[in-house]
Amino acid sequence: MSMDAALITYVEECRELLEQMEGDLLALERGLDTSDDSTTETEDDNEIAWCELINRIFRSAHTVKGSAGVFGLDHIVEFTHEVETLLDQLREEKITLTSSLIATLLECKDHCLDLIECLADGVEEESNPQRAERLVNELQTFSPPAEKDNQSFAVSESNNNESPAIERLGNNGSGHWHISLRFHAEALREGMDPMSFLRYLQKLGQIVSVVTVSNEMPDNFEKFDPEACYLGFEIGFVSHESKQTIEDVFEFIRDDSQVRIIPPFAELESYLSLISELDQEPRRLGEILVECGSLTPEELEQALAIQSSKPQHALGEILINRGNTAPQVVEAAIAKQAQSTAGRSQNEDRAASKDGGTLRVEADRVDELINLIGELVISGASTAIHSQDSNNDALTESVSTLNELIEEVRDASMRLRMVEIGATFNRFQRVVRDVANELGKQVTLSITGADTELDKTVVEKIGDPLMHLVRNALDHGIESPAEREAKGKPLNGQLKLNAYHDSGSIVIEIIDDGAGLDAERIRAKAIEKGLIDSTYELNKEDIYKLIFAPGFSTADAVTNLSGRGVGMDVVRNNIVELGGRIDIDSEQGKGTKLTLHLPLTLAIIDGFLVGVEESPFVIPLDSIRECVELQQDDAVEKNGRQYMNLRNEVLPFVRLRELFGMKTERPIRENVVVVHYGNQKAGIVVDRLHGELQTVIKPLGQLFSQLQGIGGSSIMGNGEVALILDIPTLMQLVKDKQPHHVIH
Amino acid sequence: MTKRILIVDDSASIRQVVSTTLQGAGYETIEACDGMDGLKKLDGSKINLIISDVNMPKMDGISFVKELKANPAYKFTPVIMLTTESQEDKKAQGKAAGAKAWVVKPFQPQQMLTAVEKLVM
Amino acid sequence: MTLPIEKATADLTPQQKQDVSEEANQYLTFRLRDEMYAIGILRTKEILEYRPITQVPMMPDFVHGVINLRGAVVPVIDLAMRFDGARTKIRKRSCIVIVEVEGNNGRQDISIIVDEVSEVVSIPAEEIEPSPSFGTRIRTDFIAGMGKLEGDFVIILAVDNVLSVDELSRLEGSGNDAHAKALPFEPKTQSPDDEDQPDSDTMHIETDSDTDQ
Repeated sequence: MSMDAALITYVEECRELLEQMEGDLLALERGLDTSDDSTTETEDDNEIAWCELINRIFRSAHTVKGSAGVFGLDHIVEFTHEVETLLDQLREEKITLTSSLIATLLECKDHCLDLIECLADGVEEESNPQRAERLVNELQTFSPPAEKDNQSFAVSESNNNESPAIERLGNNGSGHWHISLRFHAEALREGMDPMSFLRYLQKLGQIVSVVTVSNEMPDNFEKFDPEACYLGFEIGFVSHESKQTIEDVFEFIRDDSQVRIIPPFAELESYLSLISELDQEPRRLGEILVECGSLTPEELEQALAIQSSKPQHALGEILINRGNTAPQVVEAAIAKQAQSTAGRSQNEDRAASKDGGTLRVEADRVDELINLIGELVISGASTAIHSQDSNNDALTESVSTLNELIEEVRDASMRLRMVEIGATFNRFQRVVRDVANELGKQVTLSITGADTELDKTVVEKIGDPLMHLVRNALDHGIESPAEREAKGKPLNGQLKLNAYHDSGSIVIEIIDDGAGLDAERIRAKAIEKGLIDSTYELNKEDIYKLIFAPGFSTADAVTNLSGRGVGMDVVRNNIVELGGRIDIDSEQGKGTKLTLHLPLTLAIIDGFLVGVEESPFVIPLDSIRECVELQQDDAVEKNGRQYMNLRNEVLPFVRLRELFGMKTERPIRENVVVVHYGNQKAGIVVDRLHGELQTVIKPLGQLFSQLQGIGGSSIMGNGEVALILDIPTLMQLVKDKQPHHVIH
Repeated sequence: MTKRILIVDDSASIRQVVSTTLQGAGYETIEACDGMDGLKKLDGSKINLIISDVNMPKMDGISFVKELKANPAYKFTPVIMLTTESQEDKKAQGKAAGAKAWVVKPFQPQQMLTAVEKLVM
Repeated sequence: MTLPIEKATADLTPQQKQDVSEEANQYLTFRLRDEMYAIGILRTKEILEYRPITQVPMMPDFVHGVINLRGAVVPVIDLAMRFDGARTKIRKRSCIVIVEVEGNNGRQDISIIVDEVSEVVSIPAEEIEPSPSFGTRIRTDFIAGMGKLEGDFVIILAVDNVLSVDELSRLEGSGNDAHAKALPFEPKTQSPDDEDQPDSDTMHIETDSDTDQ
């Protein structure tokens, strides 16, 4: 494990945190809206939720900053520090939350994400200083002025520590540091190991003498507390380190324990105050100092003489001050803690179920594992073939057990890559907010089925198409408040994202309650564009599908949102490339529902192997209803359209050999694989049926990117490549042959 | 004997950096992602030092240290708190709870190592 | 059986290896029909014996199909057919050469069928002449240069152009492309204005779609 790996973790972590931050900010914003115009019955609940949201946002910024510091990413520290400071003030309720503040924070989040993405690309500096500066200025306008004074005070305080060592006036005196330690009674209970400090000191220099002081020990044995620390050390120490460095050795104990450090060649005065400060018999301590070699006997006498002539009150004051300040701070702090934990406990249960024991693994490693398991599945299949040929029952049986295990391993490893779609959906909260603002529309996004799982590779690829469809719904679907009012609809438009599993695929719905599609207008437009002939009748569903035609746009005015470059045709193609499809359902005036059907995973499928001529093809098993022999008597072929009678049901079919332009004669016996997709059925006629197989999907590569009807390939047990049929596309073909559907 | 250190922080990258640094210096490390997880990882085995963040989901560092100090097996285990300059009050709370050492975020890995060495050498 | 091409360079002595340009000057020569061609050794990855190829329908005929190369699916191009349109007959000495092609979307392995692999030769840069601007049997942008070899010329192929994935994937299948009508609005197809042209897509749509209503 190297620091580079840690940096990758950091980038990943920040992406997640910033995404969460955005979600939380948007939630706050929604809260802000509702608290304005709703009655405040549940104010207390809201309050608690708010506290937690702000806390969580703070925590996100805090972690982004904290980790950035560890990596020495000063530009990120600098920027996030400003954000964190403001969030802290928000948390402390020194400033109030406004929508403009949220807007600024959202922009800050965007900026952070940019910085992180730059970092991911290897750029370790501020990519957009102008924006950073503007945002920092904006942030500062929100913060109360008093806050700045406190900060400068803190800085000057820390400077005080570095007072230069005063040289001893006399020539005599030791050239070593003298360190006087008195551990406080709780030191052991606080986990402080007195010896540990001595050992660490030896890293900085040489301990020339140590005298253990144990006169804190109670005389009465019954008062002795075995867990208490009664120790003290007087140490003579030679080192070239600065006073600060030596002081810092004791930074964790100096608040409670007594640590005094006298530099080399210090004035006698320093020793004098040491002697007077320590609540001890002066002569005894003096002797210890002599024992340490820090003072000569003459110096000791001299010092004691000075001491007896001086009043000794300075130390007492210091100690009292020291004793007084800490408890107050502690009290105040504990009171605050009690407040914030009350708000937190409610959310704990929810959080607990979510991020239990997790392990972060690089996606590449999982991919590698899945690839290897894919190979394992293939060789497992080939082993099975050989074992069957061997007629060795014991072997066949153990191979079959082995293959069952491989399947389980395969399924388990596939699950590693399954992620919830929620994160993808939540990203749209921001999009909807921004786009709705830009368009002057009021839209509420509701999300259901966020916990529906699908393969990470699929998730990565549906982001863009989804984005386009959501933008499109906002742009062309949901009407302006004025229009909605005129139609008697609620001013606030509803956009809904929903996900669920359906027979081996994931279904994603994008539902809006907007204007709906105007079939007549679409048709007219298509005719105008020359996409269809005006003489042909099309059903509603087919007309809707015209919006996926290249260059087709129903919006009369091209806005800067959806009218930008990508068309719906690209969206549709992206979905098809993933092995999915889009259905449209719409009712004019009521709204539109787009339904995306996508495979759960792109990597492995259960397939059914068929053969045409010498070529093997794989049909995804979950699209197969049944297999039957083609009865020539039941098949009708007329005008290039083909359908058969399947138990008195009309089933359109297509011959793969004809579709694929294979030139040889049909065999006498042909088989029909009845496939379904959505609510439609069709027959695919092949020469031979070979049976089920589990197979790894191998992409065919860019060379075949324009190829339709073939979804990919897979390697069979014998090492040969079989092509996987793209059933949705083939279904479409069969459907096109039906009488009512005619495209120019 | 190798010293074992438990690192409790919700940031995976911080854990990773601290862990790497400490392992490089010969310490053995265990990681936990929050206070609750930290308590789980304390299975009664010997831990020489605990490094804990303050601000964490589920169970924050202060509550974690309080729980820890209530456990006889770990009441003598030193705790380094990770605080920020803006968290003077947290530092005080942490100390009240029994975490006497701290490292201010953002820190350099070397700073962390120095702090650890002061406590467990 | 595979003949790893690394062998040709891996056997170099350390001194020879110092000369990095050595490899850059080496070429694999092979025969297509009656012509000798060469491909830079750095671009060739492996030579395979001819093996059954899975045909991919609805692709141009010279896209022979795909093979399994240790778990990766690699397309096979009938190179001679790409040049002259006639399908290559598979003979005893036919081989499949895996070539690394640089495209817009990074590197990709593509394999070609050759009639016979000849040898790995050294052709110093000064022995290579620029491709003639006319009079060649194949497109001039397919030629990186003409290498002089034992008094004869070999055509050094510009593999990134010959096997341009962008170009190959755009080419229409010459066979039955009934699939085109399955999708009335394919991304790659012409803009509506082109409809009058005898494009194969529209042709088929017109002939196949009967007017029933």
